[in-house]
Amino acid sequence: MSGRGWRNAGRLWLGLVLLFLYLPIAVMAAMSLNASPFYQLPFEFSWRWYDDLAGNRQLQRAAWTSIWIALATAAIATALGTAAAVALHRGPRGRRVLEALLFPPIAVPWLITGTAMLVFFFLVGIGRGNGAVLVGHVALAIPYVVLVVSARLRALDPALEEAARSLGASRWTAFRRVTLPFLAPGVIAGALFAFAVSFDQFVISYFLQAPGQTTLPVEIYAAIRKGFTPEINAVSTLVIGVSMALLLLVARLVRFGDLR
Amino acid sequence: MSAEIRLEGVSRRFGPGTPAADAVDLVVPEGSFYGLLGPSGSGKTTLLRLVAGFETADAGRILIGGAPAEALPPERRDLGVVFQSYALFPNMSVAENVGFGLRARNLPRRERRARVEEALALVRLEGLGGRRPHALSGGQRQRVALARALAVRPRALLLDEPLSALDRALRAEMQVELRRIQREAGVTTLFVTHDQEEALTLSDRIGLLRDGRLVQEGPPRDVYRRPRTAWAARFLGEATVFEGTPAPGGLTLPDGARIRWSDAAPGAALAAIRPEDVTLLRPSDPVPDGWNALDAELEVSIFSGPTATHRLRRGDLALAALTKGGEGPAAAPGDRLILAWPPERTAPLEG
Repeated sequence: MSGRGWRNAGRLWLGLVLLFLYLPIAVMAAMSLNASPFYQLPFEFSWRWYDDLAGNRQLQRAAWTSIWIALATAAIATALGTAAAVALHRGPRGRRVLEALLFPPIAVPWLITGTAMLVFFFLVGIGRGNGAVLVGHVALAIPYVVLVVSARLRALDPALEEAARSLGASRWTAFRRVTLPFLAPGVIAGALFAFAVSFDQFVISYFLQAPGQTTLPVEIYAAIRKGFTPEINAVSTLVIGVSMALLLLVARLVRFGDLR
Repeated sequence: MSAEIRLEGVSRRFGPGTPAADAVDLVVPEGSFYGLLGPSGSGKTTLLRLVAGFETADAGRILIGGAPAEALPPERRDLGVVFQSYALFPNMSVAENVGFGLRARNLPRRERRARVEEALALVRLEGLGGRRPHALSGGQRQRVALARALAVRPRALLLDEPLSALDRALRAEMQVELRRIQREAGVTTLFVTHDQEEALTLSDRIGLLRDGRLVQEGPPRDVYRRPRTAWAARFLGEATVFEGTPAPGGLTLPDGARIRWSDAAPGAALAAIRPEDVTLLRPSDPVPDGWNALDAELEVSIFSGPTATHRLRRGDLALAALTKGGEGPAAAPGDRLILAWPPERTAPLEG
């Protein structure tokens, strides 16, 4: 095959991969706009399911719970994760071990993490409820923040902070006025990541929630079990929209971080 | 207020092996320009960082303006530092960069603005205050870094290879500029470089650093003319080094030839000469009275415009001579020539 042939084959392959990734989502989004509750074709456009959604108090309450937990997770995990990344960057003893220990939680199945958290929270008295969910989400999100902020820190010229110090700035002022602004794209990307991790989280939330309080993913799961309505397509489409927008923003910020 | 920098027995070791600084005694007189010269790994940047307060000495004293500085954090040493990477703050404009130290000193806005203008004028960057660092050329960034360090009117200026990131032509221009700015500001300056020509051009005094030790120091001319060791002679420029046995007023080469010097250096068994001090003669030419003369075989002549370098060989000994580009005896490789030079151009060396 010629070089051009290979290139075209590559393009076709990439197209198939993207189709595989996005087709189910696209079908769901389309069905959320189809009037028929039984996925009947021909397609008949309607906002009906979104109207139903606007009247569904339970789903809305779950959505708000999800949003505030995700916001709080983003704020707490970003502060803790950024501080951890900076501390790691300063190179304490055993830095490599500490760094390596950050990654396994990402790979441990959520089912296991959730079980462990449930047992642990029960033992220490946190129990179940939105507070427990928040703590669980923060723990999940911190490694992501550390990863993203660390990548940005590696691009930091150590002379920047020294220059600020030599000009009369204290350690803290130098960090606040020079290092932190430099880290900003990484910190914001970390916050968005943390928000997305929390907002999309199902297993941990399911394990740690008290009865009656639910987050959106858990509520969607419950609704599906009760009987599937295209209303779920509508809310899922909205969730996917938010998540994808956030992660596209992360991708953009992280790339910017490499360029500057 | 400009101030003297004084190091007394300063040592710093980063683990086993050669120390980065080994009992260094060094004085930069108030208002002068001191060039610290050494190959990479000789510890010159460590010395500068010790003075700046970014490193802590294991032993010894660091005095700035006569007062001990070892215990002061960098922000209280009142020094201006220019980094090799310039380290301009990317999130700030040129004016904010230059004004950073003034803001840290809580100067009122009006005075800050005036001092920023003044510093930018000193480095001839008037009107560029609104630019971002990444919108500047390399030479301009260098000037901003200098203006930022000088705006606080530091007691001394520390320069860490500030010109090494510039291309050749710009570098020559900035050398002149750097010296002008330093004179105008009248600020004590400690300058670190691995480029011997740069150190010789800029400095009032130079110090040669090798493996953390200050091996020689003095005015550039003296150190260049009278290197103390073969290493110093070769590090500061090209040199022919002779090894022989001590003789009255000079030394005897293994092949019996005599090299004379005018210094009082009894017992020296090594000597160096600079290629530009050597006159090349044909065997039939008369040698001036009292001069050293060695005959050698021409290996190659390299013409490079204003000068020509001639490489010669006498047995195992490699010699070099520098002439003006169009001068010197017409000779071809293999011809025998006489290298002649007055005894006061011979530098006796320590072992």
